[in-house]
Amino acid sequence: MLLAENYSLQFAGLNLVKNLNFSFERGAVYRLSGPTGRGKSLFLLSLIQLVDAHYSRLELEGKSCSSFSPEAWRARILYLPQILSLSGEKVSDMFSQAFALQIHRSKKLDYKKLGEYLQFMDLSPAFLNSPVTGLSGGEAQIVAILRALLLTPAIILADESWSAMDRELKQKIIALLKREQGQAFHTLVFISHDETRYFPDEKQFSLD
Amino acid sequence: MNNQFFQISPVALTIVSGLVLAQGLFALRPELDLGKTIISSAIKGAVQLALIATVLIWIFAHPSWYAQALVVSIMVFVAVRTILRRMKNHFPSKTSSVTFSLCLSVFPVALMGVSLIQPHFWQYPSLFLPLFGMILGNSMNGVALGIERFMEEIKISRLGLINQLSLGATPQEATAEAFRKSLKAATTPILNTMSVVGIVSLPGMMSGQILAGGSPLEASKYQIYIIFLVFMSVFIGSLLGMAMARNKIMGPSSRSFYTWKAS
Repeated sequence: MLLAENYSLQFAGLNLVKNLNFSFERGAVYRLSGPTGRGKSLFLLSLIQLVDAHYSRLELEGKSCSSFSPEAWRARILYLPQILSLSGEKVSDMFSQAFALQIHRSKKLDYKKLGEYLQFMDLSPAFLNSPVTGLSGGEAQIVAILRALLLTPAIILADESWSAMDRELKQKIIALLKREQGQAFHTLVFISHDETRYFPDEKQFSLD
Repeated sequence: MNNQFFQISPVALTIVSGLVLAQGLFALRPELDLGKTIISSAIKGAVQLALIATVLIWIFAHPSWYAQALVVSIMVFVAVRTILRRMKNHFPSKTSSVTFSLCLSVFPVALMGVSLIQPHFWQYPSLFLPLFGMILGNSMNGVALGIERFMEEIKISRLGLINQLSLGATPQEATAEAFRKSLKAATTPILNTMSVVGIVSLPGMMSGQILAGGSPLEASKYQIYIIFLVFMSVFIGSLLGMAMARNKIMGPSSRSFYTWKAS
C-alpha cells in the first residue's frame, strides 16, 4: 500500500532513519517499536510531510507522493497526533469541522455510522452535545479515532492514541479498529508504550 | 477668515530647546537616570529635522524625479529596517516579505493618491514627498503589527495547527483564525483614528495646514483623504505580509512546519 525506498530522516543533526526501504501492506497492522524519544513520532510526521525527509521513492497505492497535494496525501494517510488539540464547542463540532475542510468536501459525515460507533463504545448519543472542554483525555482520544474512521483513509497512523484510556476502553476501541479494518481503513501503524499484544497479527516495525 | 501664518522666532525656539536641555541635565541625576536619553533624543530630533529641511529646500528648488526617487528609497529603506529590528519573531526571508509587502502597498496607494490630486506630481515635490512620507510612516506600524501578531498566533496555536494540518487542512484553512486576529490587530489603530478624528483630537496634518494658514475645509479634506490612503496601505500591506509569512513558514507542503521554531 505504502512503498518507500532510501528513506532518510534527520533531526537535530541526528540520523533517525538512514536509507530505509520499507512497505506497509494492505490489511496489516504494524507496531512502531524502538526506544522512547522523538524518533518514532517524527517518523510518522515525516510520512505525512510535516517533517522533511528524503527518499528516492515514496508511493501510495502505486502513485508517487509528488502527484498528491499535501492535503490529498494527508486524507489518505491520516495521522493521529500524540497531543490532541480540541476545537469547536460541542463534540459534534470536532466531526463536522473536519468534514468542512476543502479536501473532505466530497465526503459526507455518516451520522448513522457515527451512531453505531458510539453505541459500540457504550457512549450515549448525547455525548455529541457535550462541551469539548469537558472531555477527558481518553474521551478526546476516542473522538479522534472515531473521526479518523469516518474519514475513511487508506492508512491510519496512531501515535499513542489510546494512552489515556483505561483497559476496558482500550479493548473496546481496539476491537472497533479490528472490526473496521478492511472497511473504514486498510492499514494501521501505531506507536504505543502499552506492550500488550492487542493485535495478534501485529508486525514489528523498527526504524533501523 | 483670520488664518494668518505665524513664524517661530529664534527666541521661541531657543527658549523651548533650552528648557528641554535643562530638564535633560536635571534628569542626569542617578535617581532619575533619564538625562542621557532625553538629551540624545532631543539633539537627534532637532538635527534630523534641520537636515531634512535643508534637503527639502534643495529638492523643491530643483524638482527632479531622481532626487525624489532617492529620498523615497531612503525612507523605505529606513522603514523596513525599523520594522525588522522591532520584530521579535523570525521566519525565513522575512526581509523580503516585509520589503515587498510594504512597497507593494505603499507605492501603489501613494502614487494613486497623489496623481489624483496632481497628475504630474513629480514636478511638485512639496506635494509628493509629504504625502508619501505620511502614508509610509502611518502604514509601517500597521504592517509590522499584522505580521508580528500573525507570527505570535502561529507560535501559540502550533499544536492546533499540527492537528488541523494532519486532518488535511490547507495552510489557509488552518491559519484562518490567526489571520483574522492579526488583520484586526493591524487595522485597529487606523480604524480607531478614522472613528474619532475631528472629535478627540485635531490630527497632526490638519493642525499643520491650519497653522500654515490653510482653510479648515481644505485641511479636513486632506485629512480624511490621507486617512483613507493610510488605511488602504495598511490593509493591503498587512494582508500581503501575513500571506507571505504564512507561505514561508508553512511552505508549499508545510514540510518543515513541525520543526519550525520562531527564534
